[in-house]
Amino acid sequence: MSTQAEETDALGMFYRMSAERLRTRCLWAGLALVASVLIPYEMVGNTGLFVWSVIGELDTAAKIAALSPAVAGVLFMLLSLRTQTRGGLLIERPTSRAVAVLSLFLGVNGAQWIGTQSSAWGLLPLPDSLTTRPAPFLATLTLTAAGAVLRFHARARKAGSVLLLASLGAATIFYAWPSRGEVPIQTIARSVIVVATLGDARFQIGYGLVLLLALAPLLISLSGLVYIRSVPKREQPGVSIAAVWGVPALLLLFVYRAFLAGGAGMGALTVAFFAVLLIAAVSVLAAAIEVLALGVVTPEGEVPWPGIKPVYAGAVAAFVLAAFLGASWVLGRPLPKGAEFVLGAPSTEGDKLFGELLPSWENARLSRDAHARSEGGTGATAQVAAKARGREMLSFARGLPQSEELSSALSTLTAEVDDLELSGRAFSRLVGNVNSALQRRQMPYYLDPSVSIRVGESGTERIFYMTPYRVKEVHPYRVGRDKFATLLVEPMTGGARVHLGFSRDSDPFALVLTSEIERYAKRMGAPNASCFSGELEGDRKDLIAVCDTALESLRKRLGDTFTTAVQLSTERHELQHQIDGPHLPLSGAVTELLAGFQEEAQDRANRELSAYLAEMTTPNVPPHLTLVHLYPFGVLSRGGAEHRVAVLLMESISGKKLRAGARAVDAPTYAATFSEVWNLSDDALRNAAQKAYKSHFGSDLPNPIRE
Amino acid sequence: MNDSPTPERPEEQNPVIAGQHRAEIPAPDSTALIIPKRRLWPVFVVFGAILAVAGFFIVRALVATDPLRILVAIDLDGYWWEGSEPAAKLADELASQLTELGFDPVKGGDPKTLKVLESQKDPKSAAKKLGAGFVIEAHLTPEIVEHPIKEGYFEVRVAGPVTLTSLEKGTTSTSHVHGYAGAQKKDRALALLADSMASQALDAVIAQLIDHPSVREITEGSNVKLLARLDPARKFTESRRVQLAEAIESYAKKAKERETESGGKTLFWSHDAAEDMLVGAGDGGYFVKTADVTPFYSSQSRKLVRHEALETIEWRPLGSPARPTTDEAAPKPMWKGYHVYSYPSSQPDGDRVAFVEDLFGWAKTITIADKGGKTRRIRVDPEHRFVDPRLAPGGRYVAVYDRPEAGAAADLMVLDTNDGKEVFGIHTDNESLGGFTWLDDRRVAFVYVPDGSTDNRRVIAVVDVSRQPLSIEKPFTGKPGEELRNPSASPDGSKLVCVSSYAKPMVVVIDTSAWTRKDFDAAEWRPSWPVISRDGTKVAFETRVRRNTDIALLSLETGAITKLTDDFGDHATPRFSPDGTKVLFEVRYKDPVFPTKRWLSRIAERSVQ
Repeated sequence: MSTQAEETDALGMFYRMSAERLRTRCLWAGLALVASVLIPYEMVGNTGLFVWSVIGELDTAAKIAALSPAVAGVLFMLLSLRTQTRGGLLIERPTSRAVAVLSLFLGVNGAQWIGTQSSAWGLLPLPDSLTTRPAPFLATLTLTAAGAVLRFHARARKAGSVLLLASLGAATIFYAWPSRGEVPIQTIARSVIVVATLGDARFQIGYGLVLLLALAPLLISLSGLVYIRSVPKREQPGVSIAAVWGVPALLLLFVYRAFLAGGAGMGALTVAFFAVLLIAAVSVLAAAIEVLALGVVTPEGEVPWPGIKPVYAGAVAAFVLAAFLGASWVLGRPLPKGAEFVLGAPSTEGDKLFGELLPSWENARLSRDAHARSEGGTGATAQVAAKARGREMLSFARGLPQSEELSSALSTLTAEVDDLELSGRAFSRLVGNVNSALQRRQMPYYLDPSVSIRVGESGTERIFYMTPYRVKEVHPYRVGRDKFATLLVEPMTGGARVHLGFSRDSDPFALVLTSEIERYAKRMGAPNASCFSGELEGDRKDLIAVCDTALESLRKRLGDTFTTAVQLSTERHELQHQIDGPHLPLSGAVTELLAGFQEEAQDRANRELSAYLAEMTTPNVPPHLTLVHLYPFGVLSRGGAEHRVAVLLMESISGKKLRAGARAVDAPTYAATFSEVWNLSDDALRNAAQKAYKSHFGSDLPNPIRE
Repeated sequence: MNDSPTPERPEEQNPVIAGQHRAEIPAPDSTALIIPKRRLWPVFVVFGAILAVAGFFIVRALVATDPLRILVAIDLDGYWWEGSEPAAKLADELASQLTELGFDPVKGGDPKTLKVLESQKDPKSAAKKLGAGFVIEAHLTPEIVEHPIKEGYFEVRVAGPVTLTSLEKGTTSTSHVHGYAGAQKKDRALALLADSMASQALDAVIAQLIDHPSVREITEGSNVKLLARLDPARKFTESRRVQLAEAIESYAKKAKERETESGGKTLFWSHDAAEDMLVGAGDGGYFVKTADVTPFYSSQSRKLVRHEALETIEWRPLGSPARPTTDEAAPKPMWKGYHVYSYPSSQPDGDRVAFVEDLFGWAKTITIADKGGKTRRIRVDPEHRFVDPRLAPGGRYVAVYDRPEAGAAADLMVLDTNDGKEVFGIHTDNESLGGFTWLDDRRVAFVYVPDGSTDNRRVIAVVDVSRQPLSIEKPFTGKPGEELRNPSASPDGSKLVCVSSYAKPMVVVIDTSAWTRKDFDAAEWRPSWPVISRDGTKVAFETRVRRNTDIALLSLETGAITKLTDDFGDHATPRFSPDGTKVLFEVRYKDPVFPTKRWLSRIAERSVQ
């Protein structure tokens, strides 16, 4: 037999082996992906909420994203099946099967990405484990595994080299693609320095392992370059095995450590499962690429195989993929914002229902929950009381004229809210139904659903509660073709609040609390009032005196319109939050100032910076109002979102650096800069704010028009 | 010469394998045959088997009941999941006590628990679903008594069995609980009742709980964590057992001592821990007022405390020892209530008792009860204090001391029991009333110093309350300076006996037809509360010749006085049996278990022979 023929035979044999390997891996990957529904969708304390519990609350694109791994798993399993007469139930040809595998992964990845975008408009983001840039990460490992295997086969060596280089490219993208304003490799490099300078070797080993995990894709990709020119001695060289098993093995090491440390919680088990999922994903993807490459280089006549040809399979897959992703994209568009309802007059009955009976029921419910959660509590009395208050409230609601829809929504709320592990989405939906009923009945009330998170004796507790407001005015706005709205509301219960207004991405409008605005304006607008309401001594007193002088001049200027000015600027502030949504680009200045801080802190500072800059551009309101509001935060506070924003805003407006080091603010410099900026005219300040906005966020500040 | 070619034999071509038996190996038609087709079904079978086994254990763990998990399902005016506030209060209090002892009561505040309880047909099936190993059940229907007080007053009473059921073994044990409470609002009364029932309910079930095999497996096992968890329960139960046993033994021991001291001559009819008041003797038996107390081990104070039962008025046949009123087998009393104020009295010739009822301190009533259990309140007053009611023979009238307010001097009042109207009353400015007694069905005799008297001599006055206009006759006057008190008439009214302190203590017997007196020297005896036998030949009285009081007997024929009792304890309220052969009395001594809180009082009898 000639060498060429032997080569062809051997290639054909390995091709079949790869095909069989792909089929088997399809089955295991499918099982693992189907089992991924057992990973909690989100954690509530120590309890996991699974996808079947929350699926009803998700919007369509998020539902697709949540179910896509499991559905893909089913399809993988179907791809692995064959009959006595056919090489596959759905697809016979291995290359077509490989195309299907790759398409499925692209589809899942795409659905995940769209779902993330979509669910960011919802109450909570999708779990990080499924969203943190999986594509380049998987590509690095998969391409290395496949490339090293292909280098074993004579005809596929070029393809193998290309894949190994492509793996390096994927690793570059993974480590160099900026995330939240910072390049990951920078973060890792900083961490390497920190670990190297740690005092204790045990800490170095521990944190070193974490770094190893972070650098594993890069190391594996670089290891694969060994075979760019050389040929591995076996079909499955060590690099290929490391690419499939290496990162999962490191993850399992941490899981093992968790077991040793005293029991594995849901978190550790989730990581373990994720490791299994990773093995399944990388191995099947690598097998698919191998089969595809070998199929291409193996002549058709030498290894005849029935079934659809890969080019046709690819065309069908591309079409289906495009249709699927297109539909997901369309379905994932956020719900329109704005509020179009007609406000009726408040009534005694409405005030009683929402100002007295509902809060009474809610207090009883929260008391019941506290009893049930506490170690020694039982809560039967509280339960009876909660039900009695609920019945009282419902009975009253049913007595109102034309209240069928409202009482039905309240009834559903009282029945379904009694779940201590309720997801936040479901709670929002229940309260939202009541609000919808109120709007349709033109009742000027609004229930604001909130979640309070605290750490109790039994772990993290989530307390769901509602705050009833009386709606005084509805202000619709338009930005381009998008509609927004603000509601001017008054709380019906409780004492003073902290904020003058608030906005959530999940809500279709922002709220402006008129009572708080009046309280604030009364305090700040009173003769001789200070910018800071507490006691100060020494230098701090002198610093605040600068602001007090400015405030006095502002009071004289605004006179009786002080309250109106505060209201308008607050409204513009909250409206900007609505306009920004959850995808406001992260300002480089925020990234720099809060490097190393948690994402939540960075996001908060970023959003507030946008809103305060927007606030300064409120028509007919002196921008100086924002400056005096932020001044105490700038000079007296040492941290917190408002302090950061005060510093960044002043730096942006003045063009001067106020910080002594990375973060520490030189308060006298801040005060001096404030005095300079104070003398600017309204228009000059507004222009400066707009320029600052563009420089931070890369686009013009939107100009909402009141309708 | 052979021209045909000899075919080559394979073994010659392959000398290596010559001599070996060689199987035919066909050359593969394609490389497909080299690659084995892996069969996956064995993997699925194994996988499925593992899943099935794991599933079995998971399901078993999920549906297994926890012997330390307890569902409290007490129906007190409804179950708490049906909205009953008293039941919820009781469940919470009992659950709290169970938690302290290391058990895991089902949390009523958990909405999931509520859903299960509302959806299941009975508490046992709900308990199974909730994984509880035990369920404590009771159906306590409160009896609500509304008292006629101006702004309203509600008394609630419950009594019934409490069962502890083990869901795993299916075994049940039963105890009884009872309680009462009062308040101006019904809800408040029920809440107070619920509070008081929790400790009782715990006391009723804890011993059975700890002794149950499912729990004993833990307490006798080697799981250190569970042992530590149940340690409070074990200590509690052990301490309870010891203290209750000691209490029972103390009562029995004291009772035995009393019997021994009397040399067996005194027959005791009350149970060992009784607080019985002798109301009166009749044919074949006697009337008694009880105030039974059940010691139980408090989970809060970790010592024995008293649980007071409702007071009762009963008729008891002579010759049979009494049962505690809390005993399920005890006979139904004539009356049951919160408190009897002062001493009741029975109709000398009938089956009725008159007593003053204390309505939780809000009012006093004069109540008449008959043996059939029928009761009538003939007078209710939130201000006045009525003391020592005496029914006239025939029962038409009742005479009673009447104090307008606490601490005030007592007046004498006679009421018609048919309608509660006052038919006679006397107020003495000199506060000299010294006792009263019925001579017959309409004449009441009383001792006093008439207002305006110049010599301050006590008289025995007689009023016929049925006659109008009323007329106070004074047929008998005591000696100057003589103090007459504790008058008591013979059953036929022909004689009247009283105690006199004139120079020396005497027992004075007065003939009520001639109103002549006969004095009997009782100087050594310090007599009080004398009573005459039906045949008029004997007088029994309390005597205090030593520290304790005893019962003494005076023969009216010979004038001889003999001691009937002479042993430890106080002896009081002598009453002759109708045939005059026995004297019934109370024997009083300190409660050995609660010596600072309570005195026992046991009805006993002694033969006069």
